[in-house]
Amino acid sequence: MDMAEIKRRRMLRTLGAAGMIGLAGCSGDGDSGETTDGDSSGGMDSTETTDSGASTDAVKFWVTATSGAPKEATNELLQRFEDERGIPIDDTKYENDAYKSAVTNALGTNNAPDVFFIWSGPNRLGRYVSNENVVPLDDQFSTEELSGFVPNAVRNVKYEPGELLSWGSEDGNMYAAPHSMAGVVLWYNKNVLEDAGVDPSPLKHSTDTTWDEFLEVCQTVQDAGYTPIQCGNRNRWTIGHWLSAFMIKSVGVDRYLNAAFGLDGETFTNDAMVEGVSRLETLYDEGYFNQSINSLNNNEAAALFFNDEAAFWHQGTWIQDQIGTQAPDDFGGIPDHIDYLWWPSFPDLYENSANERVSVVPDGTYAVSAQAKQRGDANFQNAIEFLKFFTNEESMQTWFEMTGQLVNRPGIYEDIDMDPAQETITSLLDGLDAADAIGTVFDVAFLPETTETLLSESQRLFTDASAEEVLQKTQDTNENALSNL
Amino acid sequence: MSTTTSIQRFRNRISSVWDRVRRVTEERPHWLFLLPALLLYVPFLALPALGIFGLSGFQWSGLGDLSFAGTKNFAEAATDDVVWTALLNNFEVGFWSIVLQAGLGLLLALAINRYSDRLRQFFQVSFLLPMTLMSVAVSLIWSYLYNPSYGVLSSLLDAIGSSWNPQWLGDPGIALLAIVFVATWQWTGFRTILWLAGLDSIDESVIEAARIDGAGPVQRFVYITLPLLKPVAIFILIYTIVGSMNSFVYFWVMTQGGPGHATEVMVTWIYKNAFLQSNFGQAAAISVILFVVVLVLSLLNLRLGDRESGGASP
Repeated sequence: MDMAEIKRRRMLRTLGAAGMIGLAGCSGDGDSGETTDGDSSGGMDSTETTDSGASTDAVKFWVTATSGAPKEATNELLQRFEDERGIPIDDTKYENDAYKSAVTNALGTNNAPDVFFIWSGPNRLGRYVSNENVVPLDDQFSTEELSGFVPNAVRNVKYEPGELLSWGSEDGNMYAAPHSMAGVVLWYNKNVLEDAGVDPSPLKHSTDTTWDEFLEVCQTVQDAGYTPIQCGNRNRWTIGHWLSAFMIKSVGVDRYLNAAFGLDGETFTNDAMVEGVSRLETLYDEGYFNQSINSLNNNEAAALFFNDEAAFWHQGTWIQDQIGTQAPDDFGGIPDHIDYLWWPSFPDLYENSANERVSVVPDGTYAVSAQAKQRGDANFQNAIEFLKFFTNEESMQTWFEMTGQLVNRPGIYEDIDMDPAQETITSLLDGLDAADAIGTVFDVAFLPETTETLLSESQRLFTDASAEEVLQKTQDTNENALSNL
Repeated sequence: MSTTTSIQRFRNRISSVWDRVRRVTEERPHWLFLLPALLLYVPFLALPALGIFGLSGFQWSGLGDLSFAGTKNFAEAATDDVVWTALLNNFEVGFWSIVLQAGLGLLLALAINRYSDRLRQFFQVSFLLPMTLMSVAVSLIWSYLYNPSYGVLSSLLDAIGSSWNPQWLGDPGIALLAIVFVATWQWTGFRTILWLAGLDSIDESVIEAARIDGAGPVQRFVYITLPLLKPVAIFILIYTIVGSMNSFVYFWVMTQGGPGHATEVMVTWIYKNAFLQSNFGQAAAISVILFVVVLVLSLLNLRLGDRESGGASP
């Protein structure tokens, strides 16, 4: 065999090996098509399907509970339903961020779930209402059944048929059953505050801590060598809750929503809102926010907070999941180690600032797809039966007891022997009840294009853009999106 | 008509079809060899691509009916700042990918080319190992390495007494390069293997003749080796450009295109338009623009290769 032949064979071997390794390595530069979100509270699973003996008669159920207590609670309730009613459930669980696009895509096909989890605002349920992908449920619930829900929660699943902007209309139809709710609050670390010489007791569940008072606390904490506030905004949504809170505190819920829907001539660029949002820049410029705000994700910021490296951190009342995955073994829990206050108020910008809250009421809801009806009466009735089971008092009580997440049935709390953490979480209900108005965070409430712009631009608040620029861009996008409706 | 006649007619029909197939395979055998690839390519690549071209002329949220939009989506894309930002980012990624992956790959190939077979194989396998990992896993791991609070890189800088603690993924000035570095780490080995294959195809006698004629190592590399590596270089150039233009995983997993749009690339913006904003028509229009850009760049490269080799195809 001559040298040329040897070289040719060596070259072919090399190319063949490289090609096989290239296939084994999945793909070329970055087109594997897999995504995951580092913020998922659990592992990297993006979907799971239980082996529940699903058949063609099974009710298809989609949900986001991929790990921890919500997954256990979901499985518990599914098993209970199958045992009691004899109707199989074919459930699919998606990680949170992947779910948003997965369910939208599925509803446009014949593979839509029968019953599925969804957030109630125009950006989510509203889109499906306007495209007739979900069915009204008014005929499925009696007045007595509806009376067990939080009234605001029922109102916020109502739309007029086909009208995305009619969210919360009293004359509308009910397009989902409310399930969970979430308080959106600021958590403080008692160890850090006490070590910095700040008495945390005035902050406990406070609704009227002013902006100036909050700055004072941050400065004291900073002087003691701590980072006042940890925020992980690499995946963009975390500062979104801060934005929503500061917008609502600046102008109130009505003007916040009017700006979102282009009503009453309201815009995002009004002076009070610009000033309110610019206070986020102040927090960063003064060093009260961690300077790594755009480098960390929410879980990484949470870990620093739980490990006594910061005084404040924001999370909704689904915090128990985060504690389970990010807190150290010696973490003292709620309320011994951490407790919450409602967002600082801006009475200088809006008189009623202290009495209006940001939250997500309802947070989780469950809707029935139009395909569920198209699959036949029997399938539809099974879907409704499952929906009503999953959102009845007994199931909601199980949900709260297993996950610690607030639910939209206030009656269940009276009979539960709560632990201190559960008592703290449920105390949010008092704050919500006492509020004059409750606004929903923008990634649930606003149009998708507006949401996307705010998410991207909000990171630039801490790099190269002013509050005015960010809000102007948001306003321009929102006007364009509203005109396309 | 009798059964016998029907059967006979059926047999005749089958026979004539079979004769036609045999004629095609004997006169044009290349179609037979192309058939397996075409069976995958047409339904899974070509037809969806045509579908995207069609969709780009409509508005569609993915949920309701399509409505005809004409060239509106293209007009909006043309005036969309983010599209231009993303395109420029892709070009920057392409530039650095060529310089780092192709350039470094060539240097590594030259370095290990002279080793013994066993040592060379060891290095080949080592360089290829990162490529066997899933890009998602690589992105997640590097996200942790880049963590400014407790990541390995920050800890190393701290250990050597440096006060420099960059926000690798949070600083719009360096986030793109930080991600390019990750891709370089993963894919340079593959370029090295391709360069090695090219080096192996060069006839040693040509190099030897140049040595005998008095050419030094640099002269031999510049005037003999490099020109003979041109076909491989063209392939690597096209492969790198296409790869950098359709990059997605690193950018999505590590930064989702942020901070702001500092690491936004065309495919992340297409993804956001389609799946986060439910604007499939707009996403399709941006995809068409990306397709045209990649096509033009690829054709330019092929043309360059043709011209340099005096009109002969690579």
